[in-house]
Amino acid sequence: MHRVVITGMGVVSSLGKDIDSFESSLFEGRSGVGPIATIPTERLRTKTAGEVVDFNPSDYFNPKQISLLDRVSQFALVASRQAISHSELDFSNGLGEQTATIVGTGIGGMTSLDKSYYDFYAKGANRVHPLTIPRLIANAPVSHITMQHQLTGQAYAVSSGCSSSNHAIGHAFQLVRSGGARIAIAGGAEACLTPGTIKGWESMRVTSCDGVCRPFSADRSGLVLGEGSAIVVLERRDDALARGAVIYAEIAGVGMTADASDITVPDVKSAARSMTLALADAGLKPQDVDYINAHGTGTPVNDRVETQALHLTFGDHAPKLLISSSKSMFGHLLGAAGGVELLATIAAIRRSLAPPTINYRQPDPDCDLDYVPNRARQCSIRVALSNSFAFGGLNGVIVVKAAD
Amino acid sequence: MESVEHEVLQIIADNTDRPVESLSRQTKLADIEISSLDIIEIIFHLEETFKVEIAYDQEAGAQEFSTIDDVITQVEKLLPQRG
Repeated sequence: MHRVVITGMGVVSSLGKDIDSFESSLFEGRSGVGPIATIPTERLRTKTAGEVVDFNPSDYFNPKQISLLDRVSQFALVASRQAISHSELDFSNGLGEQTATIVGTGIGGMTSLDKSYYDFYAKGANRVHPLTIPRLIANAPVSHITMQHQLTGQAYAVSSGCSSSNHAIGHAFQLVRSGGARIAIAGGAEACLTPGTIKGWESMRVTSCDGVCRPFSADRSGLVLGEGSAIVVLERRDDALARGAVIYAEIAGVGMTADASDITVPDVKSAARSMTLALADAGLKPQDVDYINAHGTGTPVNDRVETQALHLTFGDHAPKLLISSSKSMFGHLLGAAGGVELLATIAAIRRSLAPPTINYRQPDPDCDLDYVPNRARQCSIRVALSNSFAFGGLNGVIVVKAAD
Repeated sequence: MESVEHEVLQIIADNTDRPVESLSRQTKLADIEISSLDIIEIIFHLEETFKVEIAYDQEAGAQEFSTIDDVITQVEKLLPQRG
């Protein structure tokens, strides 16, 4: 069994399109949520999202590439370029064959699907774009990453809703730990802010009424959607040390469970079991944990259930934990959520600073823990968890440790 | 308004897989085991049938639905607003 470390990170999000700007926004408590600018919203009740508003594809791709890439793949490619360049790895000497690539997405190329349906059904067009299918397939982001960097080891997409990233990173971690891959490129990407998709979320009545995400606050009313991608490079600790790479953090364990109960309502015991399994996998005790990057969607039920699960897992230690929901700042990135939240967790460890839960206004008796309201807080963070609890009852929890 | 009552009862019956005769205005939603998904589907069908918009859960102006009577009353209140 190998110890597994992170040696590269990349991000595209409403909080920034590189790690430095993402981290500064995160600790300043700046909101990436704003008025939706890239699509018409007249027929939507939802007017805000954590949208990557200033993303110009031609800054990164030539016109021929753009015609082949849905927005979700564009995000994944930009984030993976950053992560790989950050890691300073060279895949040309055979390493590409020993590298696994695993990328989560909840939906896939929704912008392309939405447009083709609109053209065909609404506009009565008899032709849709010939690259509609290669653009929309859920494995397009991962396939493009392998092509761009010549990564020829095992590669696949993971789709488990809002836990897709944590499942992707969790599997990548297990592969590198067991020796099944030398290197893994893993993370998630999502870009489904289309009128049709947003209408679907609205109709479920889980989106925020005032367009603001207020996790754990008594006056929270629902989630705010976001988009983006986060990709990390996972590597054996020994290899990273031998080549003198910068080690950003260690992935110490993963816990994954299925509620097997309800398609939307989360289950306290199953969420708690995923955290307990993750800690056991890492060989750690509940008292070892300093910080939790919560799933914290801002829906009334999620935040209550997650709080109960934290009590169940951590017992007397729960009130001592610093817990925050970064979704308060960049919204819910669905299949990319776990990826960007892993980056937030790593940043918290590296800077000894817990990112805040912004937009917090009123204590809720059902959410009675320390959610680091509104302001980042200095404290030593050696061990942290990043939680993802998806619709469909699929849970993934990652344990992150400070590099040593 | 009797037809509104009948239609609401029928929609709830269809969505909960129960005979309509087993439901009345006094039936408590909790007693017929309506899940969070059932209720949003019921509201969807009510909105489609009566061409109204029903505020629900955390939405502004949302009413608490405890009995079927609460649902019928809410639909009846919204009906004159039909264009």
